[in-house]
Amino acid sequence: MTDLRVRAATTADATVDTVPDSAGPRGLTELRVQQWCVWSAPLFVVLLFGGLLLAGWVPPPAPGMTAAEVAAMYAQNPDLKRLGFIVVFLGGGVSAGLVAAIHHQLRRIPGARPLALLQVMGGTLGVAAVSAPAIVWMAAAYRPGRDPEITQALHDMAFIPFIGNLVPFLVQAVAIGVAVLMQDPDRPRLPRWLGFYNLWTAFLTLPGLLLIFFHGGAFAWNGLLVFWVVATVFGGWFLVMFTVLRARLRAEAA
Amino acid sequence: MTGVRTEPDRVIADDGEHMPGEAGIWIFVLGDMVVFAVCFAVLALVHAQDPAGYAVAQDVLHLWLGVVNTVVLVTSSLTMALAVHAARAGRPRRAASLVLATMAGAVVFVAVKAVEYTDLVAAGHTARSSDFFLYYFCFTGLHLLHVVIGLGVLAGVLRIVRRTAPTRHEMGLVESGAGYWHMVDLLWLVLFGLLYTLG
Amino acid sequence: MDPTRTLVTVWAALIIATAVSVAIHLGLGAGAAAIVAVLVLAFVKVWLVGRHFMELRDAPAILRRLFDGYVVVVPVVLAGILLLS
Repeated sequence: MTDLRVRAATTADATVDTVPDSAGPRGLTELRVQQWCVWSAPLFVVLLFGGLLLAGWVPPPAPGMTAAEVAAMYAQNPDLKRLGFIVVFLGGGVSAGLVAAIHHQLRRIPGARPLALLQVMGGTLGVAAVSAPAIVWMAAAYRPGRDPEITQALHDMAFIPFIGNLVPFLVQAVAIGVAVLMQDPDRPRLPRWLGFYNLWTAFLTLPGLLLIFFHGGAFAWNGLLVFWVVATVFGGWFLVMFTVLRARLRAEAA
Repeated sequence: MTGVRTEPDRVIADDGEHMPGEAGIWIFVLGDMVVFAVCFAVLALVHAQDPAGYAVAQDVLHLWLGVVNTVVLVTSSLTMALAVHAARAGRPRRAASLVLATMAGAVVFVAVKAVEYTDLVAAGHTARSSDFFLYYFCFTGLHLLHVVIGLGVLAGVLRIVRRTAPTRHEMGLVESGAGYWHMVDLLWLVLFGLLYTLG
Repeated sequence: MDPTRTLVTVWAALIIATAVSVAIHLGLGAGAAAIVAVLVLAFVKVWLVGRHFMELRDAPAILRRLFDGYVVVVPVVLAGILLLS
């Protein structure tokens, strides 16, 4: 216990991390592994938007489509779509790497351990928020000959959470934001602006929750505010976290 | 990484420049202003599609309640700015009463908005009535959420300014909170202009 | 001018601008001139709040430029949407 506290105090004081880093087999240090983990963020962005592009869903299909139109859409380039779903599915899994790397930083902020844990919970559910819709898309595309109404139901069941399931991300971003702002202002481990940035990002996801009321317009799942703003901010968040964590790990390595 | 460790150095720096609040709060403020700019553009598009329908729907709004809320919010912004000056001048009691006045303004704003919403809904004007009302409720609702969060922010500011000698870091937090509140004010000024007075 | 007086003057200007925009709305009604007037008044108010209440007057140049850019670009885009379509 005392050991832990002393250790927390030292890490808080030092600009460069002083926690002894026990190397694994073949000299793979924690630092090294983290440096790999953060690359999952840009990889996630590429896979997520790449998968959507393969499926032909940038911008997303209009929520106002009829059942017959939805079924016809799934019948078009079905194998390319299935490939796209697999890519999105993989992307969801890959994003877990960033969650682990963020955890490694947050848990060393004195007093922020519960928030570090909360970040992992939000981030883990975030993986599911991407993977689960991908699985439902797979099911929707599996039997092209079935009743279009059923395909439409599956399509809604995938798209509504895919665009609208932002609560895990909200939890994650708020946890990071508060933890970053809890740091000693004179010796921040992560830059303080990152805290405000995370709170702002969390806030921006809120309009996404309104999508279930709309079949068209700015708040629909393909709308200006719910898709374009949220997709930009969400994708941008991964790239910002990547850049900041990489700079941090470089400083630790130096 | 420039601006990473911006400390609110002092009240007015030697070169005459002073970052109001922490650098980070400006990511939040400017970021939010950009998102609201998208909302403003949506309103402009709704107006452009059907100017006559926009005007008809707009006439239903209670212009004078909107004016009252504008005056309330602008005044609360003034008391907030004065509170920051009082805190800097080392006058905690004056600063605390000014922050309390700002919070009172926020409460009045929420109350007036509640009256307005209930009255509109009672008269049968809901978010389903037309595009105008849809975005009226969504955007003023989003703004109202900012006001409610602002009440929490102001409560935090109040705790700091009550102290006799806030540290530089704490003064930075006060300025950041004030910056957030002024943002709530200026977003409303544009929303008011577009929703209530765009012919 | 001492800071308190400046702030109160800005406040008065904001109130007057609000009154003017309401008068224009009630007097001029619809039309291009009214649209431009409403936009100009709204963003002049935004600029006043930023410059004096948010203390951007003394802020680093980058912050001032971003804010000034916003106050110019957003109303121009809005005017474009409102008047050209």
